[in-house]
Amino acid sequence: MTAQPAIAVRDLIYRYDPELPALEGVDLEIENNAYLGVIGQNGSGKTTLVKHFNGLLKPTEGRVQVFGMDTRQASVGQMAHSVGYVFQNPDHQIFCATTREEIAFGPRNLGMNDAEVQERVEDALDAFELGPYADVPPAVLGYGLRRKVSIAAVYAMRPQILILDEPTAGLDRRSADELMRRVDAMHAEGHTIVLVSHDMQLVATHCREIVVMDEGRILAQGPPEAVFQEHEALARASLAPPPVTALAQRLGDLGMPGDVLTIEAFCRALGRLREARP
Amino acid sequence: MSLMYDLYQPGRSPLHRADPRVKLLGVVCASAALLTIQNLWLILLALAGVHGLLLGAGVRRERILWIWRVTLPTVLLIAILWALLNPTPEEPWLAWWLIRLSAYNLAQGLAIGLRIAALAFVVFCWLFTTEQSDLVLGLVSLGLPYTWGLVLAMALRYLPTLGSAFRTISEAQQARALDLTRGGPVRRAKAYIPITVAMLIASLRTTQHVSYALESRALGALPHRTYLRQLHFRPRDWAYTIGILLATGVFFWARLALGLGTHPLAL
Repeated sequence: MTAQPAIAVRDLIYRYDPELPALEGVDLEIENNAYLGVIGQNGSGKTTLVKHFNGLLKPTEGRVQVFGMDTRQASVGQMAHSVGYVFQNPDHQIFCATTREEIAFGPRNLGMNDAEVQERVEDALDAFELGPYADVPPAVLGYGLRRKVSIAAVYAMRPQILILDEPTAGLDRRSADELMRRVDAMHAEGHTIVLVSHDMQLVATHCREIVVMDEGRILAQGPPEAVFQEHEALARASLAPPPVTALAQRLGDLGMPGDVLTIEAFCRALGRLREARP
Repeated sequence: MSLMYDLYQPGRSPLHRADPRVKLLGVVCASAALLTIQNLWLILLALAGVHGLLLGAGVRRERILWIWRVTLPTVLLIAILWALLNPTPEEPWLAWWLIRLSAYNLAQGLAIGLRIAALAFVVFCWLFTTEQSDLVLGLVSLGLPYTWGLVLAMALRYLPTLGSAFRTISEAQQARALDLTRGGPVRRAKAYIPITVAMLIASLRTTQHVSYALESRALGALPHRTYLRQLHFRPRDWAYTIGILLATGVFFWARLALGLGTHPLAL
């Protein structure tokens, strides 16, 4: 018997209006504890697709199931028990007088008692190193910290599935690395992560599987090592592999493997090549 | 996704080509006339006329339906409350406690409710067919300081954007298990607090960013502005102006001398 997928999408069609199809026949299965990257150019349907995972959008045709539950049968609030969605702009979420209250908002909506809420808030403050800002209005924090607060606020709800829409957009390198370390840790704890991003290097470094979208359809799907070698699909979606992968592929004639995703892997492959030379 | 991000819909209709000042005059005269009408048939006639203008100008049906969606709750609320609670000079069909229902106050309620929709349609007729730059230029040429005209035009420009932001914020809070559908009216109203506060913060931040961007592009750096684009009042605009003023004059004469539009049903 195969395990039930975290998310199952069957023949999904979605139209914002009859003349504007945003998704056209998407089929996708996301396993539990997957780390999936959804890539594609603007308007390719990435955000429209992932908004179906927590019921923000309901299929025009087809079906989306989360742990076997049809999203059409549940409200967004009910779906929030199992699916957390972090929006791209933290200002679309932040409204409380303190960071502590902001983080407590979701767990309270899930009906937790004071002790549980307190525990979740402290845990999220620790996990995202937001302790010094616990009693500060989150709206006055810098962009990077507001981004952290918005993710910590969803983290505190401990959803099994976490969707992040452009999590590192507008963050400096240090903040982005810190944030992604925390997301990686959540994946290691067993959460299913869905990452929507334009940053190919980010997706290549962190995700175990990638979906390439173009004009509301899935063009390619698989591990990043394989997807970044599907040049035709990438070109059709106006995407390119991360620079280090593209360089490795250019050096293919010299024996460099084309599935290199990071500088570290490139250096290792280069070392092997040097050792292998007579 | 929002239905629209800009109110202006490009076109080459006579309404599009008319000078923005003429259209503003039309809005003012039509609004003044509408505010004095209590007759249901005249209001329906005005609504039919303005729908004809919008469709004739090539404004998409979705936009017309959008205005109805926005105004209908207010129209219905006013119509129902007026019809039920306003005293009626006629023998009521139904009399219970404060409620007096008759053909007179039902028609009057509908007329007053639909008047709100008619006023909205008249204003949107202007906004859908006038480019933002023309709108500002029109107001400035009538004596409004440029920055005030710009503020007004930008406020109108940002209405759909704020509508879109409201939807996104609402989605973001619902994704954190905020339930907007459960409970009575008070609980539901309270559930909107997180959305309203987030909306306020996001709007203030947007306002700050837009003002920085405007100042960075030298808005207000010189006391006098020059304009790349000039408005020209053409002969047809004079014809429209005379037509509008004549029609308004005739209407108010009929209103005052003949009592046109004072009874909810009789003309």
